[in-house]
Amino acid sequence: MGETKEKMRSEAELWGLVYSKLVPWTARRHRLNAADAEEMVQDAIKLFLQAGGIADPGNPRALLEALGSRVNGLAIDRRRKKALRAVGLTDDGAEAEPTAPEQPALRIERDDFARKAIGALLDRVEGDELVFAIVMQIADGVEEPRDQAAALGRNIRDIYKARRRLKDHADALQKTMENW
Amino acid sequence: MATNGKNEKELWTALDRLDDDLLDVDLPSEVLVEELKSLGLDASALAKRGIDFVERTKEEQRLAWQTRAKERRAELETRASQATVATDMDRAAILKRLEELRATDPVVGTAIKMAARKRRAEESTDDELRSLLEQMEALRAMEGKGSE
Repeated sequence: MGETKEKMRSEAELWGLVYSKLVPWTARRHRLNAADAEEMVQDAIKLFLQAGGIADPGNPRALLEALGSRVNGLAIDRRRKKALRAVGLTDDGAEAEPTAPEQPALRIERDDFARKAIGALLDRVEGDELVFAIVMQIADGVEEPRDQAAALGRNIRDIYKARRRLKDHADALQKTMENW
Repeated sequence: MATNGKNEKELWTALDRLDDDLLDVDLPSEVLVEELKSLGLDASALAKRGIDFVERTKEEQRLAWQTRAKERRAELETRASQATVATDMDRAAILKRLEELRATDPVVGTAIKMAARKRRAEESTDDELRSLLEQMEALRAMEGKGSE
């Protein structure tokens, strides 16, 4: 009985942790407000549980990956539906081309745009030595926070914080790029 | 530590993956709390909502199974209640129908044979035979077969 209670408690803790991570990740990754992101996470959890998914308190990574994958599927479906709804009628009554669906990510297809974007990003982060160094690390293929911490001789917490600042800069830049 | 130089487009794509840090199990909790704050969310309240949601969903799914089972039972009972044996059937007609079912219906045929082994037809009263036929017709109705 005690063991069951212990397991139940840690499973509840796991769900609390996973939920707290998935909601902000969904909001950032799929550019949703917090309420929509939470709703999408709840839908993903429902699907996971309906499919007989098991939350193993000893393996939070597996649960995060399983639910993250379901969230991605739901987000793709949502964008597809939005794009379909965006099909309207032209003035003469014919069916118009669908408007571009909302973009989930910082996609840049053109090389000249990418060069301009990275140039602008480096200008933005120039004053933040650690963030600048992380951009250089990523450019060199060193992408894992732990590897970056080792390469830069910094503690892992500083690296994670700097990576969040870097992403904020990239997101802010992305908004201005819509007018380029 | 792998190194491979990225061009600007690849670098921009790599930056997009930085949000995956939020799913990283090694992400320091203070970084997560800061991120939640920036979204207007309180970390402990959000975690509690998550726990409550999962508990509620599991309970709903458990109850949904019970509800489905109850609905199925009601459906079977309805079908069984619709199976009837005509009141004007005499002993000969009842025996003929039981024999017909014994010979042709794999579901109730075995049950009729077993009933006959326990108590032979000639030893049974008309009411006993009628009751047996009613049970067999009800069983067939539950299997989705109407009485012919």
